[in-house]
Amino acid sequence: MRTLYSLAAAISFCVLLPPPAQAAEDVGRVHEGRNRDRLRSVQGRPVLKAGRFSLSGTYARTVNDALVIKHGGGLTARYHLAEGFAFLLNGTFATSEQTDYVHLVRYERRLVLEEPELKSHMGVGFSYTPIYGKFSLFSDWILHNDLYVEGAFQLVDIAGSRQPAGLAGLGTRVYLGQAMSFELGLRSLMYATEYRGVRDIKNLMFLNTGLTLFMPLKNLARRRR
Amino acid sequence: MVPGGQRRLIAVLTPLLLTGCEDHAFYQFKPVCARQVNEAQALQRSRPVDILFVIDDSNSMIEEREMLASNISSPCGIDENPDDARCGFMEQLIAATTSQNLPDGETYFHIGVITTSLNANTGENNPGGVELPRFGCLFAGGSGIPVVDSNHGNHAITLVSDRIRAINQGGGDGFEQGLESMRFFLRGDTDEPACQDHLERFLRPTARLIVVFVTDEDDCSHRFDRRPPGMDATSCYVEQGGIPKIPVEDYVSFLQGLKADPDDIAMAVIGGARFDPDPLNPGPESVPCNGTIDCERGQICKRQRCRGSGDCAAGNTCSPSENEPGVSYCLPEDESRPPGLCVLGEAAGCNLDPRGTALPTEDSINPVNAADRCSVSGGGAGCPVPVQSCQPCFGDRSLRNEHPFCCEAEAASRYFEVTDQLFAARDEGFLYDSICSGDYRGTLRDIASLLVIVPEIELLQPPADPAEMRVEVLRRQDDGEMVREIVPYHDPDGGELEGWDLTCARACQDLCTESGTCARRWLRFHGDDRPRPGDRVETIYLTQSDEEVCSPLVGSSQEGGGP
Repeated sequence: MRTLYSLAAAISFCVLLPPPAQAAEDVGRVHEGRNRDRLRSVQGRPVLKAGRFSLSGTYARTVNDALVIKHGGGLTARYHLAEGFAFLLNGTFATSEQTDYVHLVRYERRLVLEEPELKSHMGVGFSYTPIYGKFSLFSDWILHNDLYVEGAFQLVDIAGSRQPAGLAGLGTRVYLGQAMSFELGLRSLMYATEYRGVRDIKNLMFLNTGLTLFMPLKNLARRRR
Repeated sequence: MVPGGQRRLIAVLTPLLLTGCEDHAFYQFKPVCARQVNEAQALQRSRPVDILFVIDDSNSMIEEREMLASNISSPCGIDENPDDARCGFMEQLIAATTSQNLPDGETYFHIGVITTSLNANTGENNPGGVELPRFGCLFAGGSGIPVVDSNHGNHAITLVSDRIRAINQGGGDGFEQGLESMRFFLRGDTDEPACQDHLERFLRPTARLIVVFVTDEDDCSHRFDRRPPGMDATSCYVEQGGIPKIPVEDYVSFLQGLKADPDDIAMAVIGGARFDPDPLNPGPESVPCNGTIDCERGQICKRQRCRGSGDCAAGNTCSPSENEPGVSYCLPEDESRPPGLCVLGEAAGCNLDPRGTALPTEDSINPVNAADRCSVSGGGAGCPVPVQSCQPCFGDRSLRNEHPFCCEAEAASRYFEVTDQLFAARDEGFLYDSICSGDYRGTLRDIASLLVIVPEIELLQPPADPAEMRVEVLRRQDDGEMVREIVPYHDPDGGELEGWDLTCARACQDLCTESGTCARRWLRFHGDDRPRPGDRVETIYLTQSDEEVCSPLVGSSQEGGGP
């Protein structure tokens, strides 16, 4: 568990860090020879999302539940109304797996966990991308990234019964070209439950990773002003 | 001031910041929910059986003997299906001859028939020379075969039924002495030259013995030399001043001394019905007993004798009987209530049989039906002729079967006393049935079940799921070694002929399978998988969970969270 958190934190840290100041100062001063290993400067946004569709396939796994691990796969379709805003339609199917802790308390304490578990969730929402950036990978590649937040109304399927839920997410995309990006993010799914008279609000946090395909595969032509 | 864009960002991110580790509600179970039961039961080794029928040969028993002769056999498909519920007494015994694992050469059953008469062998009413029952001798019915045994095969059915039908061709004795007749024969007291070897041929020291009494009168066993002169058979049933009878304790001690093992003796009485109402469901004529003459306080009586009205419950008054001088009964003050039913076999009686038998109860008669009703003095709405018993039961004997609980049988009280004393501390080994029953097949089948070891085993608990049950049979080989064999489940709907299944009760008939609500705890085997006497059956299963015990305790949830 700690490893996962550490990994997520490291990735977030790397992604959110602004490009090194030194790179900015060296713009236009890259020469062969002495300065060969300095960062190249890349201007502008290589991937334009406005007016394009994207489809993300992701693997999701809960990261805040030590007792029941839920993991599964999902799809998210987005229509990017503007560079920073998109409507989304998503769906995720998950399976639940009780950890050894649950079996341990069952036999040692005669406590049993038999709550109905989440099977799937799906819904509609929006995505907002306020932050853009780029970073150098091994000093050879300049990769562009952005950070987005998303919110969605969801219907969760809990052992056959459906009920409303809310989804909030924070993630980053690392663009691998005009048509594809790698996606990593956290999604928080909140819904209310009542089982055997016990009411509870569930807040499942999923770590999502996946690939996004943009359509059309190339940027749309910029409008000239 | 925080810019608007950042406020939106903060609002969206807030749920993420509030996210902690996920909680779960645990429930605590009581320690026992579904308990695994491991059972091992050995089918007892089978034993040969000697069956002695003591049959009332009086004239009043003509129809009953004919019915007994007919009911002793019920053809069935026992060769194809050993569990065929239609199989009669003789069919079961004959089939058991090969299934009981007896040592080679051992004869499984001996059947003998004697009667209750002392003087039926006078021959006065037998000008045709038909064989008559003789006191102390087995009655062969003219067949020349006093003991019917399993070596006779299917012919045994004819041999037994024919001799039952042949009883009383010359007229029986009015003094029915079933108990003394039994003892006289089993003690070998006869001096008849022709039957000196009957007892030796019939009774085996290693065999179990069952005595089946079939009579519509009480026992009148008495010392011949002490019978007061001039007394006829009716003096047998007079409580005071009648024929002094041999105490039943004498017969009890005789039977106890006959076999070393008490389990080797069994007894069945098909006799006059003993009043056996259901205390939990008294009929409109049942009288709560105040605890005086016939019963203890709290018992339910049909007609309670009394000394005064104080002995009777509210709504009843103590009224002298018109037919029994000096005897009073608690009768309803409201004369419109039916004061009694047809059965007068026992003038007064209480719930003397708390063990509960299959005896029909007088409450079984519908009091609303006028034809089922009559008054003590005779002649209710259904009794046009003012006689003591009601019309359907009197005169035309063919109507008896239409009113099976309505017949003129005297209660077989002394026989009941013998069984009560002989089996006082036991719940099995004896059977009762009413001679007024319209059919004796059920009782005869029950008698066979006392003798035949059937491969059915009662489990300690009803299993929760038969599909999860494991059944193994340890089969005894000729050399004594036990070989373990797993027996598969028998799907009755799948046409399977072997395996095991669960049923509601031993020899369960359609009645309990239709309801489907009974606890299926009898393990029944089929076909070649049936264990045989001497085999051992081992079962492993989970008991049915008790909802009250096993459901999670609401409110005892405990939160368990991650890191």
